Amino acid sequence: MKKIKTPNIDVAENRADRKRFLAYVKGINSMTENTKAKTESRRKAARIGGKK
Amino acid sequence: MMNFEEFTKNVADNIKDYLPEKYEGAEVVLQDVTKNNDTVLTGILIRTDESNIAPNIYLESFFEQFENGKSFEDIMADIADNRVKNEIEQNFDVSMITDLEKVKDKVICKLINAEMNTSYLADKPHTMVEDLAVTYAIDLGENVGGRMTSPITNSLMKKYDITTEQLHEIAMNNLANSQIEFRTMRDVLVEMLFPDGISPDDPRSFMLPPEEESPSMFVLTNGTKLNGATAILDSKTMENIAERLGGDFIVLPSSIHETIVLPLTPDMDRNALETMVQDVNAGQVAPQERLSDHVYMYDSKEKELVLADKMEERVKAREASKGEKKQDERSEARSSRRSKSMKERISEKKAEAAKNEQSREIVPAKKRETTLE
Repeated sequence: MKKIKTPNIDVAENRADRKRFLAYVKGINSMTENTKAKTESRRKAARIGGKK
Repeated sequence: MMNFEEFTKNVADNIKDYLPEKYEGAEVVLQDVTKNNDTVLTGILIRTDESNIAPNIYLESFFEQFENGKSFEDIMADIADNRVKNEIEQNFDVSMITDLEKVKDKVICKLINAEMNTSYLADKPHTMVEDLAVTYAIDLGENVGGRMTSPITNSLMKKYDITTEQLHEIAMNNLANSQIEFRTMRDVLVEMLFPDGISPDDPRSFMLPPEEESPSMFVLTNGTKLNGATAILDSKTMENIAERLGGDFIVLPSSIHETIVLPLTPDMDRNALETMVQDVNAGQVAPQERLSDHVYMYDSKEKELVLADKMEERVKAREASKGEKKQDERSEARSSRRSKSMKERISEKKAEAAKNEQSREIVPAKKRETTLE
C-alpha cells in the first residue's frame, strides 16, 4: 500500500464570543458598584462618627 | 442506544456507503487528536491516493446530534457531505512545513495554559511566560473551514536545526509585524451586537459599558481574533498600553483568543477579579478555549507580564525599599548634624541668617495692608 504522509493541520474559525465579554462587563460593573457602595457607607459612618 | 465508541466504529465501518464512487478505495482511519487544554477529540480521516492531505472530521458534535435524536442515516450523510466539501485535490507541498526558509515568515505563536496542556506540550517546543506556555505553529492561510495552522513539534525542530530560543525570536518578530487590535470593550460589543450602530437612548445599551472619557475595559487581540491572546507577548504593544493607561495595568485572560485589559484603579480587588475570571471560564468559555484562572499584571517598570499576586509582592517590596531609603536619608542627615561641633553649627546658622537678611525684599508699608471684606 502507498504510504501517505499526512501533515497535521488544524483548521479554526474566528472565535470572538459576546457571551464572555458580556459576563466580564457585568462582573466589572458590579465590582465598581460594590466599591462605590462601600465607599459611601464608610463616608456615612465617618460623618456619623464626626457628629458625636 | 449506541455509546460514543460504538458510534465512531459504526461511522468508520459504513461511511464509504454514503460517499461517491471515487472514495471506494479510500483508507478510513479513526484517530484521537489532543487539542488545547488536553481535550482529546476523535476524528475520522478518509484518505484517497489522490492527495497526501485529508481533513480530520471530529465526531463529537455528530454524536451529540445523534443523542439528541437525529437519525444515524442523516448523520452519515452529513459526515460524507462534509468530507466531499473539504476535498483537497492537489498534493500538499510538505516542504511548506518542513523547510525552515519557506516557513520563517509564517511562524506564529499561540498562548495556552501550561498546566492544562501537559500532554499537548510533551512533543512541542515551548517557552514559559509565568504559568502560560507559548507554542509555535505555521500559518498556512485560509480555507473554507477557517484558518489553517500546523503545530511545530520537536521532530520538526530537528529538521529546522534551531533552538527554541531562535524559534521564539522568529515568532516574536512576526508578531511585532502583524496586526494587533486594542479597542474599548464598548466598541467591540457595539460592533458585535449592533453592527449598524446604536443610539445613546436605545434601551438595549444597558448591556454595554458606559461611554466614558477614560474607558475602564479594553480588548486586546490580533487581526484574525484567533489565538489573539498572544498580543500580550508583543513588548511594544504592552509598552504603548502602559503609556496610554498611565503605568501598570491588569490583564484578564478571557480566552486563548483575546485578553481584557483594565486600568489599575483602587476598585480593583485581585481576589474578586480572580473569582470573576474563574466564574466566567466555568460558565461561558468552552474548555478548549480557556486560557487561565489567574489574573495578570503588566509591570511597566520592569516591562514584564507577571501574575497579579507576584506583582502585589513586588509593589510591597518597592514600597518597603522606598521607606528604608527615606529612613536612611533621614538618619544620614541626623548623623551629619551630630558630627558637626556646636561652634560650626552656630557659625553656619549665622551665615544663613546674614544671607536671608541680604535677600529680604523691603516691602512698603502700604503693600502690607490686608483688605477685610
